[in-house]
Amino acid sequence: MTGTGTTRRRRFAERVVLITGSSRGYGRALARAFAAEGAHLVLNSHRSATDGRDLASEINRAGDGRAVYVCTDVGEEENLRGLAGLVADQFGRIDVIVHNAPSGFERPVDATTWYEFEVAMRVNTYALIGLARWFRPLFGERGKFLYVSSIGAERALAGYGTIGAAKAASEALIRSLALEWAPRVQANTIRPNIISSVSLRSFSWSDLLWKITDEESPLGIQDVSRLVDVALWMCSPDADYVTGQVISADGGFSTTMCRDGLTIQQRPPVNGARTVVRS
Amino acid sequence: MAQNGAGPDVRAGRAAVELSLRVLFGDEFVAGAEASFVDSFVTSNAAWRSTLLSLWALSKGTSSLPQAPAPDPAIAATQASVTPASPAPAALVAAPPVAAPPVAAPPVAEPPVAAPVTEVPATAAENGSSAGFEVFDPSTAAGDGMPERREPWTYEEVRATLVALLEESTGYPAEVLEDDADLEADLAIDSVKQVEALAGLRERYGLAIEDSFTIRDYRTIRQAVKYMTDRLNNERSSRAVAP
Repeated sequence: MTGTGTTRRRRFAERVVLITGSSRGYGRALARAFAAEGAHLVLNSHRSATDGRDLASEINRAGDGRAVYVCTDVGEEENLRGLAGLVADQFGRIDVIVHNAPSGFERPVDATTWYEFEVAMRVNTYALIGLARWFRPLFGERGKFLYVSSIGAERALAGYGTIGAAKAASEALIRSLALEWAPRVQANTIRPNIISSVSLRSFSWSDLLWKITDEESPLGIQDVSRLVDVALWMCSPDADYVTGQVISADGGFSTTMCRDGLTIQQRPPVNGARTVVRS
Repeated sequence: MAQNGAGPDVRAGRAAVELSLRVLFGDEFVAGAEASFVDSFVTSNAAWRSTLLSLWALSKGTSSLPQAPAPDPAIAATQASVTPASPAPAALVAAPPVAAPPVAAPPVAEPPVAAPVTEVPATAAENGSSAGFEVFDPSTAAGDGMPERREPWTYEEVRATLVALLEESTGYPAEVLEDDADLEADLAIDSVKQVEALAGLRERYGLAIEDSFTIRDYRTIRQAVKYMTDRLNNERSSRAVAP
């Protein structure tokens, strides 16, 4: 499942890795991959405790490292303080933080309440600041801080405006963190391509986005393990000289406009995302 | 059957539709509605079905109108803020909010002016008692906290749980949630709500997500309940099999 190399790597043996939003989807796949390379995992989610406990048990059984799951809302600073305290008590330090927890509402910008925008900002962005603040004393040398963003930070998707704005803000914060924390910790952003997940299905246009992405990405949609490989590289010593960057693990999707004229002709008319998705 | 832009039958149908919508929602609503929205009622029984169900839910204060285009953006925003868990246009990315947004958001606590280097993270003892912060350590946990169970799980009890979840998220009365109705086509429950309900069901019974799961495989209550009941009996009733 993890790693495409012929030999099994152990880049994270005895490293302590925190992944927010790791009970399902991309975060879950990341956790398994880190565990397979020997890491200790601190897992987190807010509304899917069963999946989080299940994953922690699985990693504890199969992995070389330990796994602990914490059910808490990273959109509250006090909880991040608690999380840092738990990591300090149980592991004594942190080596890698992956901030992957998403939240927000699918809404046109002009129909979004301040409350809804704040939810997106708290979980995506405030949490990033809180993680930086409370975990900074726990980082050793060659630490890695990775933020999981999306193409929505740069391009408009229907109803994704406020979430995209939160992601863009987080990407900017990551650049500043990279500057502030050099040379001890490298901070970067990854924009993975879409994967089949509960989060994706939360959007009304998920089917349409899947189709477009698959058609327009030079390398098509790939198994989540390929997207995980990029993130693990970014968190590994191989990427020690990479910091403040945004890297798209998207098979080239963000670089193309029209991959194949024939594909375009075959596509059903797009009158609006919802119309097509509902059909 | 009515065709777009056709003869007098369609116009008569459309007039009747407009009159009905006026009675239900008022003149202003019909004036602001898009033509394609009104037309959908001429040609589709499903439009009536889902709208009446939504109206019923709205009258119970549990939902807002899903497909109806708001005549005024300000109204749409207001509706959304009152009922954040409302259908299609109000899909939540990760999970539904647990409560309506506060009228005035509480101010975020001011961070200390001094650099946080000297601050210490909370101890485990401190955070262990905090609500909304639950630690699960598999190496010390006795189990996953789910009650012991010897007798097999039944279709009916799992069904009751799912129906309760769907009642809560859609506002529909239990009677319309028939076992073999297509959740999306017949009941206008979109995939967002389906995913929420099934995730809620898994959470309730302590069943973890399966890598191969796709919502499309479970289009009816019967299919979803059967899937959950089978998993419960395979994964959570092993004690019943043991001698």
